[in-house]
Amino acid sequence: MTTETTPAAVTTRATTTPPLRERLGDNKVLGFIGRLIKQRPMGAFGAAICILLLLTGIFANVIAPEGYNHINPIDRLKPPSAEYWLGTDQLGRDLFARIVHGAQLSVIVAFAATTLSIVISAVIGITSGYFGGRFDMASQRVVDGWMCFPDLIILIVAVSVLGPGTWQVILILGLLFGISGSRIVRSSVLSVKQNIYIHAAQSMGASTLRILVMHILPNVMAPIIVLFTTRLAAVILAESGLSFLGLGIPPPAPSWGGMLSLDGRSYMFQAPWLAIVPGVALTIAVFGINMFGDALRDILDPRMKGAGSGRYVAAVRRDRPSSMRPAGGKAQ
Amino acid sequence: MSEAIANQPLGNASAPGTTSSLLQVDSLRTVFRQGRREVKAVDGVSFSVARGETLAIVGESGSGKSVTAMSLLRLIPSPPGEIIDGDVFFDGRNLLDMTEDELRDIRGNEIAMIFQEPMTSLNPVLTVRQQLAEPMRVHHKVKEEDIEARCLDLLRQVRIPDPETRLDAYPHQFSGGMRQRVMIAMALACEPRLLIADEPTTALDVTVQAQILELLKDLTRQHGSSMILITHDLGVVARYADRINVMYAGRVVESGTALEIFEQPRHPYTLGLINSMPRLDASEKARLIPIEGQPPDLGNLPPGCPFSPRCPFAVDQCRREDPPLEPYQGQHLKACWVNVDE
Amino acid sequence: MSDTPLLEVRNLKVHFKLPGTLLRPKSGGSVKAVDGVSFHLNRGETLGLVGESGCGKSTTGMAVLRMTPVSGGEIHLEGEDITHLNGRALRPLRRRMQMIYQDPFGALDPRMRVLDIIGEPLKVHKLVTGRKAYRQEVLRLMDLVGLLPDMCERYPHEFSGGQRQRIGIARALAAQPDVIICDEPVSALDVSIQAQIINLLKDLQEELGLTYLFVAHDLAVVRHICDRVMVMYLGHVVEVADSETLYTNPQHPYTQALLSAIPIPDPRAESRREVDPSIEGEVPSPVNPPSGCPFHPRCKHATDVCKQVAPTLQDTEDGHGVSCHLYEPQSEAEPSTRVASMA
Repeated sequence: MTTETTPAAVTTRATTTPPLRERLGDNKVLGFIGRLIKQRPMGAFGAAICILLLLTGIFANVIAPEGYNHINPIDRLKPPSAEYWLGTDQLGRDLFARIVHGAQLSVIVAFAATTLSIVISAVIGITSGYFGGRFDMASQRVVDGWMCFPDLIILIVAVSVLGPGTWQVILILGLLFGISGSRIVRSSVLSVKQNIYIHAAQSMGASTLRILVMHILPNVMAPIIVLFTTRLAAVILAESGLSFLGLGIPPPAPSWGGMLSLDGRSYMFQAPWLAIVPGVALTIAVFGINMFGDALRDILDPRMKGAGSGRYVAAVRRDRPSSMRPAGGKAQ
Repeated sequence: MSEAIANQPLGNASAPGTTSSLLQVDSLRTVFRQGRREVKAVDGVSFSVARGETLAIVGESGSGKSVTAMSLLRLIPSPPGEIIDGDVFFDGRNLLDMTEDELRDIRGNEIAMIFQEPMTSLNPVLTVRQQLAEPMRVHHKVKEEDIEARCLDLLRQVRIPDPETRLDAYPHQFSGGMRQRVMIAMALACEPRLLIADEPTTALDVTVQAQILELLKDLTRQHGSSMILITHDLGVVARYADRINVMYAGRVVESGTALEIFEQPRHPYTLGLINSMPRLDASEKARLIPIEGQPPDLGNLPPGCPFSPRCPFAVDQCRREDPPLEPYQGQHLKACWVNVDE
Repeated sequence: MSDTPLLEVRNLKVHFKLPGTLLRPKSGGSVKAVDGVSFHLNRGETLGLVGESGCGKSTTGMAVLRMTPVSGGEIHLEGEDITHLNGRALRPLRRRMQMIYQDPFGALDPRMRVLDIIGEPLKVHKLVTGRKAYRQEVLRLMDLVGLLPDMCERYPHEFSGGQRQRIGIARALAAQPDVIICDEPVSALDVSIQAQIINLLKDLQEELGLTYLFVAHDLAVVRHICDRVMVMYLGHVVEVADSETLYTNPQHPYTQALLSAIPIPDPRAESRREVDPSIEGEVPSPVNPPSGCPFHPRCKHATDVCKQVAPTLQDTEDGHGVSCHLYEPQSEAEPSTRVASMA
């Protein structure tokens, strides 16, 4: 087969492509945001909270340049005022600064641990689901075994072995959520694997690696993204829980959970804002991420895929006759 | 078959309220909405079915043939679907004006449906006996003590061998063809006056398809019921239909007796469909004449006649004005501005 | 056949094991999906593989592609035995045989652009070098199957069924295969689109000298594209003949019944035809096939011999083979004419 082609085709190509691709790119992002706001206003609200959290985390040092551990004994346990927006704690530290830096800590832990967990889930889920057979059997029994233990016990044991600290928390939470999440990835791989285009790729001689990376992974991205957002909230909660129990990130680091536990509980009646403020911050963050995650799941749901012009026609086409099930096919 | 063609009921298609027509549909419109998009799945469809007649509705996917059938019994899921206009007179009563209770009295009783999927239309956890008896119990057609006898009789009618033992079997113990027979038995349980068969054999093998269609033909003839046969298969239509409605993009584009439609197709789409159909009696490796272009996007139909972009005969008028369904000759109707001569 | 055919299949068997119980894992038995099928395919020819569901026609196609394990028999491609190739040795074979699928909605990866879908075989087998050459080649293929060049950046869901099937065909052509296995390529399409695709397949064959193994259940479709037709029933070939002979002079009772069951779109002809009432019942389960001739429970001519002895494929000079005890080749009923190729 020659690579010769009609010159006309090539020229039209060259002139029309770049704008088309740009348009497509724009439409996708804008269209997604538009759809989010229109179909899931709560999801858009959640997304706004997530962005706020992210920005707070990134610019913590700009917003609160004095840092989270600036002790000012004169201004101990001040209620919220114009000077200290959210009041101060028993060491006179500005609670606002601590919350802002706590957001940074939460963002770091949440993203690092969730990313780690997603990578673990994807690797276990994709290989186990695609290869099936004995490999699947073996790896799933290991996952079963792991999931038999209550999370809290694993956490306590791991912390007592590794000691408290930020990277330890990230590692433990990543592993914990990664292994349980592999189930979700695996089940979507199992359904994607049934598709004929996978068979087509195999029969054209594509390597296994190519099939996994080019065909399986992009088609399980939707559940992976959804998994990511739901895990994000869970990780923030888990980190707070650990810190609350004293197993997480040790003071003076401004972990929201730790603040709730140490300062909040001790001065609950004298200075209620010490408990209320980190609690509310935690609630808003988790609520926002969950709302966004739910909306994302609804929009990325595989059944809704191929939206736009094709979707509706497809719904009408269910009356279609021979389409998927003509007399000769399937059973073989 | 030839006899059926000869006995064409005439003069009822456009005369509403004529006693001989059992079902009369007038400018039925069903839309599906999604956001701002509105898809006109059925767009002003009118037809009638005479007593004892088999009317075939033929069309490709997206032509609205199934939605038409579902609309007759108001089985359109809503939202997103909605019947926005039209009348459906069944024996003089308008089905679209009835209350849900009144309609329930008709469904499965006077009008029964047979669906395409014999695999999913039966409930897997109930025995055939329970499912067969259900329509009779619901509509109180048969006395409780006679139900068993009636069930056996029905299974015999649909030629299921060994009905006594099969009565207590579950659907999964039946093959596809046998399940479709059970579906037919259920549909016939209350001796409906109108049977709507929506692609009844599409999921079945050809040899089984022939058996099922022969069975439907015999049974409707025996009971004197009318039938609306919805299919995409022109061959099936030629063998079993008295009259044919050809649908395209939600409307009837041509209507006539089987002989008229096949021998003097007057709409370019019908003509194209017949020419593009693979035939067993064709000469060896004969070349088919396809209809060029792609099926229409129902949410975005072209102005004028919806078939005009694919039509080899289209003139300017076709792209501007939508042709109405008008008599071409007697009861042979067509919706086309152009006179197609062969 | 003096020179070697492009593809030759001898006594092909594909048996699937059924899962047994936990304690007796072998108790499940097996399904003989394909049981002793032999045929050959010449270059530039189209062979139709026809039958109802469960007859083993698709499995035969898959076995030839080496996508399903072969339990017995031999598959030769241009004289080379490919039955037992494995792993890396299969790679070059994968280029030489391509497949066109039934379901145009499932056969294309929804996350890939048309450009990447059609070009995938080029990448996999490194058939072109450089982005420009790649793009040119894909555009040439698109032109070949009647797709417009500006469609190459779009995704499958933006296309109708017929256009998707064209994309699938272009992908199959990309690797310049020797054999294309078409598995019900038009049965999911509307009639008007079906004709477009059938004509396209015929035109491509003429232009590029392609060889098709055409698996289908619809004898009417097969009539318009195949040179020879092989009718299968329960894993066996019951009749094979050139297209003209099979349609005008079918010999096996099953072929006859199958033909009479298909309605013709012509009411006048239909009113003259009689549906053969003799073929009752349905295809038996391949798990528990009947003894003797697999068709005998549904055959109106069945005799005692049919119930006990499985017939073999009788072949005549003109390549018309019939697997029936009651069939007497017109020329002469010499036992020696029993197919040599049955091995």
